[in-house]
Amino acid sequence: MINIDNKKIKQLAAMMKQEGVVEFELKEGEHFIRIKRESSNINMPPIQAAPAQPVSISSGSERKVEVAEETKEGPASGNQHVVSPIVGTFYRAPSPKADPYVKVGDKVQKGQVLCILEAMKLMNELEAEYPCEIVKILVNNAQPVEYAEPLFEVKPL
Amino acid sequence: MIKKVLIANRGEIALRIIRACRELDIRSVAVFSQADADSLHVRFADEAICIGPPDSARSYLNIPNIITAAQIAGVDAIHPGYGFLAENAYFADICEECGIRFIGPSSEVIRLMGDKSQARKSMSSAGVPIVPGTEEKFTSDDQLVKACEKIGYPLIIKASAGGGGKGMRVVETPDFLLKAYRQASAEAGSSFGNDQVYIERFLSPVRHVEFQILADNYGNVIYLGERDCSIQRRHQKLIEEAPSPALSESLRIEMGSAAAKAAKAIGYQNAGTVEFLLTESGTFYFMEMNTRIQVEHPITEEITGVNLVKEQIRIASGMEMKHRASFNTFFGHAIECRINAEDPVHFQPVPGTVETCNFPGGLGIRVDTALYPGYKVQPFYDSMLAKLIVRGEDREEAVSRMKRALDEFVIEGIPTTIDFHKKVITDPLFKAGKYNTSFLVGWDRRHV
Repeated sequence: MINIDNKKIKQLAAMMKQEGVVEFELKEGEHFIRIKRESSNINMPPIQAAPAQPVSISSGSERKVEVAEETKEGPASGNQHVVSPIVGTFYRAPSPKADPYVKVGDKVQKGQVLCILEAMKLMNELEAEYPCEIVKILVNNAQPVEYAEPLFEVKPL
Repeated sequence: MIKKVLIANRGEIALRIIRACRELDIRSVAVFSQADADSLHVRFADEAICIGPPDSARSYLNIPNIITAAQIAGVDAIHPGYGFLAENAYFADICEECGIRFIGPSSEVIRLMGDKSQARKSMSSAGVPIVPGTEEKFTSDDQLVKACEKIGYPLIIKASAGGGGKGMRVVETPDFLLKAYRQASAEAGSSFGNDQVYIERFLSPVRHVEFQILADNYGNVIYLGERDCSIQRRHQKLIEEAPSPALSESLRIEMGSAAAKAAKAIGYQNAGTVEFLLTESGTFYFMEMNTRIQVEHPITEEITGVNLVKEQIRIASGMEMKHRASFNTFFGHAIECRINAEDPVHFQPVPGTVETCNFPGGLGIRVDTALYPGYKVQPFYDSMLAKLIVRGEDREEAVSRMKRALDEFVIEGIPTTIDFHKKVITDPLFKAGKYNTSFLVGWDRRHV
């Protein structure tokens, strides 16, 4: 049996989306797993205002899992997304060697810096608009983000 | 050659540019506002980046977000399309500073032609006829009155930084001069942040005839014939045709040469358009120069066979242009109707959802649009839905083909100007090619 769980599949799907990979297949003996994204264009929106196309996953076993693309997923109940107010590059820390501004589980005050968004060589600090707890960090360090892209899932305090 | 282009626009022109990129094997990057996430330009570009909320001031005019998107995507060049940042010299400067090529002329030329009174002066010194008038700033009412007497009435006051009819006043007699001058200045100040105005004789009846120019970085400048854009409502072009029914070949050569000479004199590069007013007696005057691709460029493409957007990209890549001779003869005749989402009586834009649509087809038909069934017409942007372009062997065939194409064109769910175009196309004056910029004045009274 291939040693892979839902979390790993989600990570793979996110990686595929980011890298523009359409299909991924892994074989081990008689077991195999194939992850396929439905469109060949990584940015293709649905033509109608429908939810984004899901990543459909089929594996060698009978089990079928449907995983929605992570960034399109809403936050868990009671939680909120902190979204990017600009187009930029996301940095978790003020410098490559420094500690990140926030980690999962941190409780932050209103006005506390969450991350840096670099745009046109300017470092823009993004501050928390309300006291909250960091539940999830949704983008990787040094990853480009677009306008309104969810960066953190937080639980308002 | 440029390898990757960001398109700083939306709608049909963004799609038009993506198509040119595809054919040139160039990667395209679309940018979009949150209102346009389901747009065709987002779908057909190789990459797409959301740059802001629906309000265009915070998305399609958001220079930091667009430049950052360009840097993140790693593009060599930005194509601005028309409208939005297309004639923004500051944006062209920033592109240059960031090492991104702006597909268009230099920022100095954009700045020079953007100041309409400066443009008049430049054209005049290049030997291009300009409408009698003055760019002088007046310190006293007395000076102003005297200067206007010399120009002759009726006259028109226009904003130097202007466009789109704002800051514009027609003055029939001297009695209304001072009031109109103050109103025009105030409107110019509030609309463009610059209250400078200039005064010209108001010529009527006239036709609006413009020449398409292409200029590369090696001093080659050609014109690709003209477009007649006299069918206008409130300074908005609705129907254009090429060639103009009003031009003889000798007049075409005279006007085209003046346009090319003007472009050369100011060091113009890339595609541009020189607009003239043409009187019934065949006298022509420079009006303004547009330093971008125009909405109505397809009719020139149809009758010359030149892909203007591809030429823009090739020229911006530093290549010499393909054609060295100006165009005085053409492949037939082309007409464009701009189909807008407007209520047909008051011409007010109406947002809504396109339930179904059918585009006309067959020989000589081209539809440039970003429309599809289910498309939502947003209240935030321009109301143009589609450009219907037809080409015929001659004008007569083009007119009857346009009528046929309009009959096949179906858009359901929102009001459009399709029926209005049918009436204009079958109007005896239009059919005879005998119209001027006043054609639509009083149209509603005659037809509703």
